[in-house]
Amino acid sequence: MNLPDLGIGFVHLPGLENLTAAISRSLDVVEVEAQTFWSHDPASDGAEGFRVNRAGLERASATGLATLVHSVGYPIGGSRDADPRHRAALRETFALLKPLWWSEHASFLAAYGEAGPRHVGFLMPPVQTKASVATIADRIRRLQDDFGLPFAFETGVSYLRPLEGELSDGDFWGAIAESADCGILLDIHNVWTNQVNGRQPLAAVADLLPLERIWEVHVAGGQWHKDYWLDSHSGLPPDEVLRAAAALVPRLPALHAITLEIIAEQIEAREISEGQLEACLAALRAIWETRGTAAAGTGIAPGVTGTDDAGLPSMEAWELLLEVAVASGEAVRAPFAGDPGLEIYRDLIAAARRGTLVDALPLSTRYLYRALGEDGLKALLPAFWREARPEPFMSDEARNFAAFARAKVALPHLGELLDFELAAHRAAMSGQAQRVGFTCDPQPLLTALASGGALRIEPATVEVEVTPPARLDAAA
Amino acid sequence: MLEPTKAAARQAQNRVVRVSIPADVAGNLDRFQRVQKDILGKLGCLACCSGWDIRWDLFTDFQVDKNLGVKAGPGF
Repeated sequence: MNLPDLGIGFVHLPGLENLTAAISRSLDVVEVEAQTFWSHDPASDGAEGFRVNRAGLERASATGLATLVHSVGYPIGGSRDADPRHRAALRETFALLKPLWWSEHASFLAAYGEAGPRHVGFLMPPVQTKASVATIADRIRRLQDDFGLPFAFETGVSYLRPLEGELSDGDFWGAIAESADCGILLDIHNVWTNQVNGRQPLAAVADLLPLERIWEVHVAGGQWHKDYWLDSHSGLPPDEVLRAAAALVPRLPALHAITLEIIAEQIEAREISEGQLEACLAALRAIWETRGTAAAGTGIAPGVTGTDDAGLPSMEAWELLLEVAVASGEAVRAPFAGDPGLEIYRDLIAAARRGTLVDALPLSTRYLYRALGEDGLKALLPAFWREARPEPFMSDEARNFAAFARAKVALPHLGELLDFELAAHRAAMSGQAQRVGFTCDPQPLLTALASGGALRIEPATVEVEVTPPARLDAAA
Repeated sequence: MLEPTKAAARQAQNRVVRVSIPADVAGNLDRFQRVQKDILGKLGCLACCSGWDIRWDLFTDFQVDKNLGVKAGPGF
């Protein structure tokens, strides 16, 4: 694959635009996480459609840097093709950003039972068998043909223990890349996380990969949780990760980009300065300059022939078993019985679902917090989770919670507040003004919730026109 | 700060008052200066991350006093 060398990249997520502009002199490329710039509103888009936030993507193009697309909602590691509705929006995203390649995770997001997809709420690892290799490689070949764009899959995190008979991480990913004839996005922090948590060490993984297929490297930071190292993108890469990158990159003859990933909220929560980010990017650039300097021919062809799939579940069965094991929190059957990684997944999914609600419905959840207290609100959420499975799009998760809270919680004006926030979502997604009603003066209520003042409820009959928000770049 | 784009004079309780409020009101609670997400940035899929979601922790990072008034916590 004849791809150009791009250089040092930075993840592009909603909220990071201003920071990216501030450190752009240290960057060559921005990697847009596509689905974070999309939305889904069945009321205005139809059940089939996703809406691409073109203004958000245009801000990535406006940086003047090269762009890559990293897909985060259409994983290629499942037994079935992921939600096909992503394809049209991916095409629109590609047409707008013109990436040189795109990437997705060799993971899955949903299990498929008789009643249809059951979303897990987190990117989950597939069972590592020869059958999985064949299924995933076939899908990648079709994707490359359909989109006509080079593709690299990302090496994922697994908090699970390897099962006896499974392919090793390196064998699994190497076999997929060779069979699919595609690139590898080697996430060094992911693989190092796996190593810290007891899976195959990074160096051993690298020895099993076709190194000439590693087009891109990700680095990130993480944190501890219950004796597990998490790939939480919560800070700058640990020294061990940078040392691992420095050892590996010279062996990579076809590396085209090194990308730093970090979550927007973590930058300010952890008080990471622009200077610290630029120092990290400078360290990555020094590593980048060594690319290919110690390359020794092609990588080792992965040896998958010595492993038999016998005794291991099919991809479909694995997905269903894992979804039940994570969702139930109760007695877990083989092959996951006794695996403490399940509790990690449950904690992470709960944190993500809680975070989505307070992010997407800040006024309503703040009202609930003030009325019920932290314990009361936290206790309400598991009841919601039992009724509604996770939704990949935060807009859908928010809408489901609004319906649940309206039915289950008797608080004055809560329904009106939820209606207002959902109307704000629709106004933002559609660009069209929305109307909602209040039986109190909304101004003191909304002001108190937004600013933290005392709640004042003044009865009134008010019809509110919720107008579309101003664009951040227009307001700047 | 909430600032209706059309001022609504206080009306008698039995009259319908019409006001216009920008959708940003439901999305401008971010406490951060460098990281500013608009509403659309809060409605898509989660980022590529396999770790702890910090947003709930940030949400609870304020205190409620005995009169149910909210007192700003760190960074609020």
